[in-house]
Amino acid sequence: MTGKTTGQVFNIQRYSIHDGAGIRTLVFLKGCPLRCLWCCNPESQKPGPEIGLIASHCAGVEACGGPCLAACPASALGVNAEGKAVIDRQRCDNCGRCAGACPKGALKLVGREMKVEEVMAEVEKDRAFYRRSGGGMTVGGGEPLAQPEFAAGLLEAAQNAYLHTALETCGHAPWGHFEAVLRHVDLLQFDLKHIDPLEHRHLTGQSNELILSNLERVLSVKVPRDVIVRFPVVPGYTDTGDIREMARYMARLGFVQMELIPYHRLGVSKYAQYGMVYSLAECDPPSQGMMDRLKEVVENMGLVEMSGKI
Amino acid sequence: MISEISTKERKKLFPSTPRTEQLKRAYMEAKPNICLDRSVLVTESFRATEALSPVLRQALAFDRVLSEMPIWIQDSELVVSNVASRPRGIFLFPEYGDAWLKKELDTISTRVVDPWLLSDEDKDRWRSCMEYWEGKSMSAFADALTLDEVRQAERTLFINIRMAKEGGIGHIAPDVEGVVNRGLNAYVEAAEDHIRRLDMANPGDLAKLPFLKAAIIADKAVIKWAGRFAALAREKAAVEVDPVRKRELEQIAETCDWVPANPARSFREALQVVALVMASVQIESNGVSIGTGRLDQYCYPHYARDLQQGIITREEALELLECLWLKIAESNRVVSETHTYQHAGYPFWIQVPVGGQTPDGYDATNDLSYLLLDVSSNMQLHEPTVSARIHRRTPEGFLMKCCEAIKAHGGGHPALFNDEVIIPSQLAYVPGITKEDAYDYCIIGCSEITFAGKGTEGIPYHALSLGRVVELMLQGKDPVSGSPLEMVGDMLAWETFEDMMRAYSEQVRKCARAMFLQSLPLIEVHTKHRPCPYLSSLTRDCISRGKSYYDGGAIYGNWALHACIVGVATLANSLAAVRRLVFDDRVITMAQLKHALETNFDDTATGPTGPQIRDMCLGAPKYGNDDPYVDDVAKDSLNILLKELRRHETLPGQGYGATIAPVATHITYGMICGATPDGRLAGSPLSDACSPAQGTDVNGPTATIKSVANLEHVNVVQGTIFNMKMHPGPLETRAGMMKWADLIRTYFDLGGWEIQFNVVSADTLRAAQKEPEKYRDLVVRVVGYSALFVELDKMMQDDIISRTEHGV
Repeated sequence: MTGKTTGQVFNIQRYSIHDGAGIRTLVFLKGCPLRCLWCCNPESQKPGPEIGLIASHCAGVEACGGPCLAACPASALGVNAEGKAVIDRQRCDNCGRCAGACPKGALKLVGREMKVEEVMAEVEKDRAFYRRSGGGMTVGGGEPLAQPEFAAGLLEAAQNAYLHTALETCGHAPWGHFEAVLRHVDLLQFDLKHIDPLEHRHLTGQSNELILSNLERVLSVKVPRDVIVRFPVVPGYTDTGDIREMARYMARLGFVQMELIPYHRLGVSKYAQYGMVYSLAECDPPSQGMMDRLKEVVENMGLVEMSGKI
Repeated sequence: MISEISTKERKKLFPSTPRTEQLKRAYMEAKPNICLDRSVLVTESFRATEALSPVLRQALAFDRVLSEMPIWIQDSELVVSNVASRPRGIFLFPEYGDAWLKKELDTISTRVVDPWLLSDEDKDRWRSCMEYWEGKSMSAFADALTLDEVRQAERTLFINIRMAKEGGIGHIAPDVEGVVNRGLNAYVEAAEDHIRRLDMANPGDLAKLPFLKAAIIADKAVIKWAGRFAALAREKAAVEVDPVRKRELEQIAETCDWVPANPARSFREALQVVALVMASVQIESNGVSIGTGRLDQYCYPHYARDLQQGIITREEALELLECLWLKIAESNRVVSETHTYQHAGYPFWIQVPVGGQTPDGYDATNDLSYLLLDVSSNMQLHEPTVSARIHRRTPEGFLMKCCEAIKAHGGGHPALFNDEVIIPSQLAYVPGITKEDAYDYCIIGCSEITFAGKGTEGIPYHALSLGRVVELMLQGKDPVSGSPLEMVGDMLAWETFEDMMRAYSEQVRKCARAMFLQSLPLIEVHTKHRPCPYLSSLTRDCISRGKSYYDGGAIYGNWALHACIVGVATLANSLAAVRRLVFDDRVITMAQLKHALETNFDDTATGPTGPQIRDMCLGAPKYGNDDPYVDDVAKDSLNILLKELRRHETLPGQGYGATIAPVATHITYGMICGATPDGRLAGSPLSDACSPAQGTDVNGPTATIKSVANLEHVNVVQGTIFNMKMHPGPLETRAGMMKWADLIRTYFDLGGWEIQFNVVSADTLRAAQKEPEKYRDLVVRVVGYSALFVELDKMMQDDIISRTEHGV
């Protein structure tokens, strides 16, 4: 075992069917260097544990006796006009005691330190499904390469247990992290958010220079059929011209497989739960027609668009 | 919901031709109605035959009904048969017992759930028949044999058998295959031949005479009945102006002249036999859930030959099957309003199994298996139900076709059955079963197994509420009446989980005994009073043994009683919650829990308060999440119950079996069940079949499947039903469909019996919006992302509802 044996995990999702071949368990590592405006997992961004509050699940502190208020050592919990719990994010240090006290599951602590073996015990539970479907484990995030040793530890453990492994990355990590991890990855899913460095910074908070330089080195260690480059399709932000440019760039580098990921709004509700603000203004998911046109655009570059195929 | 590779537009499918579309419209527009012609004819016949043996009386009454009931052929029908004198009509069965109707005579036409039109004239006819049947019906005979011990238990345990007492032999599949291939004349000849060989001086032989004579009368009655359809078709042909329809009517006449008396010579004739046999068995025996047997197997040689010889095209075969479907869908049964609540929607549980294996163990999937899936998708009828038998070598294409059909239907058809568990189960539990018959099993009812034309099953279920068992173990008084309950030991004295499980064992021992004793009179009265000579003649080896169905004629006995178990997850979650809260974590005492249950978690004066205790209960481990803490409680408690049931035998080796397929009794039993330690409030539904309790499985489908597969389905003998909700999102792509099939395959690898899906509809999502706490498990999926529906905000929910509604 070369990797670190513990890391921050914010979710382990069984029956993941859109993240690599077959039925998979997706291990989400917490913490991400990017802040994509459309991010659907806002709770994945910060590196440490965080408290989320689902207001609709809260019965009101009168009904349940308010054990969350009593449990909070930082006096960070209050009551709003509807009688429901609210979190003062300035005071809250995300210790998680309120989540343990809440009888309604309205408060939940997201992110916990887990050992490789603990994660693997969860992953092992669906072995019968992987075997049938050709699935396995996917490590995603957040950004797994922000915890390179832990990610490598997980992926190596999975391979040693004869499971297929996949890694989802935004690409923003030192190449050394890639090298350490990629040895244990059967399928790499590499996101490219935008081709223009300035636009990339505007949309994600970071320039894409490091990402592009990593992308240019990927095929020195992986064959094209083991890599899928993924483009987000966010109407008004990543336009046909951008997608065409990205596809051209990819094709020039020798990549073959890519996937178009349509923007959706399902994550929006979570921003309020974590005291965050969703800052992507009015944006509708792309229409089927638009997706069809974009697919044609990338396939004209000689790429294979993979969505719905694995 | 947006995807690049859409397998197929999500659209409603329709009958394949204008003819079947029109016939379906007529079917849907006709109002279900009660028809008294049979009651009058049967009553007149029975009045006139009091001196004869029961089997002959039944045969003569059957002959009278088939000879004199008005018959009809609808415009453009290609397959004919009637189960009553009018479309969507249904006969009553006074000789079994329809006294319940007395209270509902004036309301049955207008009741909210499943109304049946009943004319004033027919109400009078019903009354005049009733005068004769007072004290002579099957339910009266069975009541007379019921022990006091059972009556007492019926009140305490809420075990109800009324519907079975008023019903005939159902949950069977007659030998349709034999009639298709040999013709009824062969049955008549066999019976006549047997009579010739009887030595009348031998009392054993002489005893066979009434049955054999009755079988001949009954089989000939069906041949004559077919002749009436031929004559009617000819009459209609004579006045028909449209030459095409005229030819069709003539063809119907020619068909009914030949079958079912003689072996079918074509696919069309074979289907005509199916229609006539299904309807006539219904008219004789009043049974719920009479199966067609393996239609794709016994009709296939006719189909293949006709196709090869150019007599029929695949499209014509599809249309004929759709016509047959509408005939089978005519079968139904009127039940009292109370029973209607247990299974609303005019259900009748007619199963058509497809696929599976041949008796010698080869893959049996054929083109007709595929075609029948199309029929089910196209017709979108609630009956009959196509169920697919899946085994390890089932062609991938067939399983995918099943998945497509489920997606198109949306409401659970076809259900999928696992040969790899069901066959070993039958080999282990059916006394004397041959390997060939086990491989040739046939699905009936919900999850149950029979051997077409060879017996076992036969008496409709009676159900045991495990919610009631929990109540009896834990509560001091009846939540409905307030009267004290007979408890097992003293719950306050239990010190360990093991003490509680011992009390549970004792409680289910009492239940098993009471239910077994409750069933026995049914066997006796069926054997003695309603031997069903026609159905018996279509059950091997009744004719060669000279004995009726229950009387030792059927190859596999027919004494395979089973109890339907309701609320597996409610029980397991309740036991696990007590274990966690009282014995392991010791956060509440048994006394506190007892009080909280008795007050329906409502008492706010206690510390902790009732609602707080309920929250603790809801937070305890729940079956359906791949958590061995509770999943093993589910398995162990079910096994204890199964073993207690099997201690009772109707014949040597023929133990009392079980099924976990409660239709909707989990709702009705829930209504009369007090609060349970899983946090369930008094009056809410118990858990459904072997599925997790509503909204409690929050770890996704693989976890749910592992929990459910952790039960030992192979030992349930008559099977289990597992309802799974599925969001349509992932089913839009080819890969998503394949992963769905893999999910099913894995459930079967792990030992599941049956699985059926509800593709989540906009209505379900709306319900979840209204009552989020019941739908915490509901996952919606889009490409690359899934979310728990109830955690989304209202706007987002509305958006998903409208997308689901429009299938985008």
